[in-house]
Amino acid sequence: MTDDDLVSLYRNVSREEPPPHLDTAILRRVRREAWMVRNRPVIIAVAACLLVSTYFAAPHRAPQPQPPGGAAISLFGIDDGRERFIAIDARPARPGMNTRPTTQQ
Amino acid sequence: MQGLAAALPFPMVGMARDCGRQAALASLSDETLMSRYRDGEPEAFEILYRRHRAGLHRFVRRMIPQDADELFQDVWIAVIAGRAHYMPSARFVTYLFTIAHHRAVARWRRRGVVMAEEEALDAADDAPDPLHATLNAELGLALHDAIAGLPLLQREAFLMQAEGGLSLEEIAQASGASKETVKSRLRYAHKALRSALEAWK
Repeated sequence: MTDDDLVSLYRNVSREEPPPHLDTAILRRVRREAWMVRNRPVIIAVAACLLVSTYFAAPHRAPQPQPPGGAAISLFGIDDGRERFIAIDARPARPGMNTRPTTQQ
Repeated sequence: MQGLAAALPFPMVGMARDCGRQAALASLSDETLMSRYRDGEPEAFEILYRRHRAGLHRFVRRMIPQDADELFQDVWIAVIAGRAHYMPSARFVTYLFTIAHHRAVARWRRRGVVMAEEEALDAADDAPDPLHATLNAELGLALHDAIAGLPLLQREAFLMQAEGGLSLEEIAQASGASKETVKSRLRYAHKALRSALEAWK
């Protein structure tokens, strides 16, 4: 048996293929990279827009509205089935004055 | 072709164009395909990959059976990552097997496998018993067993020749050895394989 015969024999008996998941992983990577390269200007533009909008939407740029009278009052905490009205005296408090909200049924 | 494209609905025009492009790319050499991939044509890589995937996988599988899939991916990822620096100074298959060799050597070193030439030549005496090989039902299995029993460097040289179709000079280039050393490795490998298959005559 010559050296060439050995190589030919080896080629004839060796037909194994790589598992398909390897093909998928490698080709998917190549396609993803190609997509990124092709769409790079769009990706950069979208990223820049997001960055700018995030900056202008930040709390230090857009002041939040303050609740009137300096206190936030929620009616939803009291739920006994009866309707309630809350009156708030917005005048500055004087000594001896009851500053608690009055509740009327 | 334009008449055909006009007669087909829109998605089929794209498919027909893709098929034509694939056929045109399939006729190109490995080196041209790699250069085209470097210049931004992913379809060229797909054809190159399909040409060499089976041979490279068999090579790494016979060199490092435990990590074959991982090594196979490593080699292709190195080709993908290094495409910007690719220069067609040698055949693409030599480039591919050079990367495979370096990755395999790194793994052998990590596992503490000795690759000294003397070790390899001494180990040639430890080739599997030919009688054991002949007990296999098929000649192919006997040959694969005999290859698995070759010392690493001889096995590598034989597989580069058989799977990659590399010449003596190309094997020397890919494995970083001299031409004479490669010739000697191949001679020992052929001798061991021939003696393992002696019983099949």
